[in-house]
Amino acid sequence: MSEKTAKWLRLDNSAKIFPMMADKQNQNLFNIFVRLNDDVDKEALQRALEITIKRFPSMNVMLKRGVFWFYFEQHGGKPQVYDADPIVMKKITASNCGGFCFRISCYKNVIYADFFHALTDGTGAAEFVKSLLFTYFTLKGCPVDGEQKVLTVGSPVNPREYEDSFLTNYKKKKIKDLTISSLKGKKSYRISGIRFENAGKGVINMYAPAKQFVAVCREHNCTVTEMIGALFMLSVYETKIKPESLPPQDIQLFVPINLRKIFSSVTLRNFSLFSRIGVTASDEMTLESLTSTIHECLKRDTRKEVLSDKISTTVYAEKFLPMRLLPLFMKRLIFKISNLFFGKNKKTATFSSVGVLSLPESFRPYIKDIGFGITANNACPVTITAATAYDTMCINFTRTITDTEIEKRFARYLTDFGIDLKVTSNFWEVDEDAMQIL
Amino acid sequence: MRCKFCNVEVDCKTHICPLCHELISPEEQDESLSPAFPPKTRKSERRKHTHFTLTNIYLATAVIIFLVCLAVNLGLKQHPNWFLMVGAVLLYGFLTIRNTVMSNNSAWIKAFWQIVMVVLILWLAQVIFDDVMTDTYWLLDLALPLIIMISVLTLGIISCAVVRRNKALLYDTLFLSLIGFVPIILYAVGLVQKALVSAICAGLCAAVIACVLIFARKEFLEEMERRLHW
Repeated sequence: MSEKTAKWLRLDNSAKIFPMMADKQNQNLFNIFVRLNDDVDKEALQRALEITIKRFPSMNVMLKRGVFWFYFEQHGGKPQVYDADPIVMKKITASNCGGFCFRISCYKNVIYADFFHALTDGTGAAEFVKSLLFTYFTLKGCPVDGEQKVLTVGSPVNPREYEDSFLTNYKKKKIKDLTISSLKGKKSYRISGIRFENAGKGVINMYAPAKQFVAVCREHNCTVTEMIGALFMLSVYETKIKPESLPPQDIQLFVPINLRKIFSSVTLRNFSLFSRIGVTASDEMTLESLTSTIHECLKRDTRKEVLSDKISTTVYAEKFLPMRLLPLFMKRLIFKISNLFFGKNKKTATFSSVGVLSLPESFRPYIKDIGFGITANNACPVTITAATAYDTMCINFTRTITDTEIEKRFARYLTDFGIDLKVTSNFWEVDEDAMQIL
Repeated sequence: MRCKFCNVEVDCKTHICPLCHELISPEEQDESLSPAFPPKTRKSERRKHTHFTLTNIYLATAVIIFLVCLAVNLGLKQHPNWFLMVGAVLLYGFLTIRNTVMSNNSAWIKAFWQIVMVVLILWLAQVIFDDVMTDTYWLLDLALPLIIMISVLTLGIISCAVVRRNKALLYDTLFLSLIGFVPIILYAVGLVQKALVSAICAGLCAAVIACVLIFARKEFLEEMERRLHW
């Protein structure tokens, strides 16, 4: 990081929107949770965090408000390891995270790493967590090796790690050539249900043997992402739309796409766009038809020229002179008003598939599994994510509604395929007294 | 342990299935497992609905004080209506807690609102106690420039003291200093009668701006670059 940029950083193109959308209840957060085979040594993790953060200058920052945009300022303090809060993905604030935009916490054998999306996306966060684990295992005296898969503390910082890859891949276009329509969603079914009265979200994690899951996908001639997306859509239809005899509704999944491989980027900041996968829910939906639809949508939306157009459109919006000249408070006001009127019912759920995490083999004896979760909110009451570490795939459901019908139906599909499923939950929907009586 | 209804293995310490919430038979239960998440507590559950915040406690106390003052003032038929002044001070306290103490706003914005609120309270005092405060020009002629000077000097001294640790205060000092020219502008448009204090205020603020630009130019320009990047 150069002398000039060491002190402050502009938010990347995608990150600019997240602080503006945040309000008292909602904040775009995601987390990575690592279940170790042994209980976490909090003191060692604290030392590991203090060492690791020095390798990631783009994480060692605090969010500040400028006149026109938010920006990141270098953080002078040390990040803390907290005891995990019962509220999953609790809002990150200056007071509860010491000004950092991430939070590392632990509970028994689990390490939770919560990130504010303005800081990075899933890939960047995974690199940070891998490096943290490497340092932690090293401090604990475990014989681990980075195997060229971990950004170890001693490795040099590549300036491209903190570049805004949206800007580096931006091609100037005329306004008529922009693909604004591709970024807009259309009205879709919003999952209904009784919301939690209290703070917090319900979380259910399903752990499946990766080999079994891949075998099932091969049988159905589809990818893991297509399979999970299709089963989720079927579950939503059968548990929510069909029982209520609702008129034909569009189920629309919001699927983030990692752009790093497509555009050869190594940035640790945000560099993802999204695809909207929509189908009209009906009795005619089958697993095959849905996997085929998802395949077509992803094929369409992951073409380099389509993504390049989308990058140009989003960067154009940032560079648009009237937008740049608006003071920050007016930008926030406009974003909030437009979100209030146009942002609702544009997606049924967010589905993020991280894929197989590239972990060193030397970590295997110490890690049970790794999962990934995205926060849910009232506009999108259920989110689903999938990540695979070693031989275990973790499918995470996070929700703001009490009922677990979608998860139950989804699990039944998997067990019907013969997959050995392990399930955990935070039982947020169950009253504390009832839990103790039971 | 397995849930026979869902045909899944439950991998955390519990007595019920996470999916169907049916009881898992005691012989199936595995006590060696630990909870997957920190257990929910009443504190975590109710955190969102807590009513005992500093603001709420202050507000409740303030309302009681105001009602007592209102009753005494009107009950004893005292003149002037001093309960309005008490109300204004209590409101000032509330806004100070909300917008100054507990706010993440910049120092200059906080100072700006403090100046506005203090001037409004003084104006209200003039309206209520008009028998005592007969000179209608003291507020803009004297009080406003003095309050601005005190604010600018205070912020200037603090920013000099912590310039190495917190360069942001230089930017705040400069912006607040710009407000120092308001009294002299008011004099120019005829709202202020005596120019002396307003001129001193403008001079002091100009001196503060000059000091910032001379002695901390580099730091100030860095701060301006990050704050004003567009």
